Amino acid sequence: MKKNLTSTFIFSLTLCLFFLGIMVNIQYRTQRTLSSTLITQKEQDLRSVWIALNKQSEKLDEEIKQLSTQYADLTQQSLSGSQSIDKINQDITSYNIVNSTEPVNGAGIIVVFDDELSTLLKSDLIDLLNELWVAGAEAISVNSERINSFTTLEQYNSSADSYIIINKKKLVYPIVVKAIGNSAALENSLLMTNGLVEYFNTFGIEPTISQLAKIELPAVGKVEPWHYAKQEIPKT
Amino acid sequence: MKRKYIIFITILCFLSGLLSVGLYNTQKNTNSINAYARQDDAVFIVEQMETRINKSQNTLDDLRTKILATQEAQVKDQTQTSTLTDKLTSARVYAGLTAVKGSGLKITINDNLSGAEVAKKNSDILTYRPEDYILHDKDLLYFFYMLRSLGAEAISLASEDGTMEQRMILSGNIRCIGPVVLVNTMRMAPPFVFKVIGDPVSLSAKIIASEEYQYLQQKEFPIKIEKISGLTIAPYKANILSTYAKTNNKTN
Repeated sequence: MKKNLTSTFIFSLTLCLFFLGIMVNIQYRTQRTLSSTLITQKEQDLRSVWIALNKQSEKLDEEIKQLSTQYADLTQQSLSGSQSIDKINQDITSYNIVNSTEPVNGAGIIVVFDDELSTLLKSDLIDLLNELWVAGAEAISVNSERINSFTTLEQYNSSADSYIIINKKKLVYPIVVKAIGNSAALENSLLMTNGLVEYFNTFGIEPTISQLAKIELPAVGKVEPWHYAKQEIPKT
Repeated sequence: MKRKYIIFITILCFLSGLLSVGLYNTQKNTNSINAYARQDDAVFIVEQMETRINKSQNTLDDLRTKILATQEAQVKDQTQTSTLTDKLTSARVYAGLTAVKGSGLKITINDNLSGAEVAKKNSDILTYRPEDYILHDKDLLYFFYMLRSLGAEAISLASEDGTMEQRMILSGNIRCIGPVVLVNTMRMAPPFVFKVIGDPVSLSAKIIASEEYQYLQQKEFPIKIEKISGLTIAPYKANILSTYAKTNNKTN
């Protein structure tokens, strides 16, 4: 009788726990799906997403317009047999700017961290770079290092010292971050309410930001060759 | 003994009942949200904009390919050396404007679903913190910068279904607006997949030793690293040309 009761109990318990598990799982997945679905977002968040997408769309339209004109000119040149070497050189320069292999100048902002006692961490610097790219920065340097796709960032921590290592070199104070782009947009992105500067301030980090009409950035010293990635030729 | 069992089963049934009601209410709310979602202008506009951007990106990618092909043909016609076209192609490849293929890693990172389930069972509504079990934009951002620092030659990030794969070029960015993760302004949901081209063996060892990986492991986010020999990474399709930055012989 007792053995029978124990088996019934175990069976009921297993059944209950099984259904409980399924329900917890379904509930979690539903909540997670809801949290990333647009319809459940706050109106304010939707507006922010829309603003970001709108900016992106405007930039895309602008570049499509430029490239369409370029393509039409090229086709015309092909028909007339005229030279396009200059245009190719211009294109190479444009891509070199993007690849950081060309020294550049232009309007932008300078962000300076000069208080060595309020240590800037690697994660803070990554947050700053990310924020500047989001705000439309076209080229960035940190102290004398132009940022490119191979820039290495590391954090050194010991009981005595803590600092950022950029391209295998200690990043010394004052840390000067220069960014070329729309200077007002770049500055606003850092100073907005609940923005990055407000976040830095909570840790006693107080950067100074200035807008400048002309900033000069160096080119990267050395471009690392690729050994593994090869261009995939598009099928025509 | 029998009484003890009954109490135990009753408690479990009560908990199941509570969850069932919660689940029913959530589903009901979801259905009612869906019912008027079509009329929600903001959602409609955002979705339309996403579709438009996707279309524009494909147009831009197509234009870049056509321009390069025309330029290459013209230079060949002029019997110039191939140096100029090589330079142009190489600059485009480095800028991330062409698809690339090579050996590397596919890294899948997901929310800590099992941890969330356990925590939900073992804690009450006041102590349960769902945000501890979901991946945040910063987790992905620091992981991306770590991959770069380790010498990855090409990186992309996508949701697991692979749609909207975003090539992470120099200006690649990750942020969130509310709970939505935006990668290069495009919306993504977990599981997230990083595709990385580089030495698979060395990269994988360095990733596992990195503090970013250790942090995600410690928070029990499932991470799967697969070594792949023929990995293809999509080109960057969005706008790239500079309007403010000029070369030094061409000042503003």
